[in-house]
Amino acid sequence: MSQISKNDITQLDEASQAELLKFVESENAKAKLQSSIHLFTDLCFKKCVPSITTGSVSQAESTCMQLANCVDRFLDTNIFVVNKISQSMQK
Amino acid sequence: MAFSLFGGSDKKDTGAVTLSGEDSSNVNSIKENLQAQILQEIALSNATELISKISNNCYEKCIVTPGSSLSAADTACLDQCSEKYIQAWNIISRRYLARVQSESKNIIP
Repeated sequence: MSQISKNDITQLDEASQAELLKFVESENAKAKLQSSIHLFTDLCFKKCVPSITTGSVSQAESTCMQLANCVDRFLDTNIFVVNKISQSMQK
Repeated sequence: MAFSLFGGSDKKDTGAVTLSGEDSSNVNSIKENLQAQILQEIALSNATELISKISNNCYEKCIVTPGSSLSAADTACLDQCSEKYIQAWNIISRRYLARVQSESKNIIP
């Protein structure tokens, strides 16, 4: 696979450069989402899967991951902390 | 910047194609090449991340006392654990994206 060279980029016209920038931004946003999903899966797998007895996610584990809300409660925790810190900073 | 490109178009070796036609196809191929490279890098880093997480989690769960080699039971556990982790990834992914969508509706009604 060829490397990206500076020369290639300077050969692009302004419209293409703008389009590429947009492309990178949107891929970057997607990559951030993916990296959050990696983080949450790691977190929730540790919390919700106590031992490996079968090769598929059991009902109880699935409930832990989505209904008993491993992800949702983590986000709520995060939002709670953000609010608390921003309140204490306003004082 | 765009103007300097027109002036610097010294790479032409055939006079048969019109200037603008060759320029735009060249630009397009550079652009598509860059985009493909970016996508490939992202896919690679995503796969690397997944492999590292599965290794860590399943090592922890399956290899309780490391022996001189992987036992049949170890391999079976690792196999099930990997399957399970990927399923978990899909569940979390759906759940998280649903939450992100509902939150963004709250912010921008």
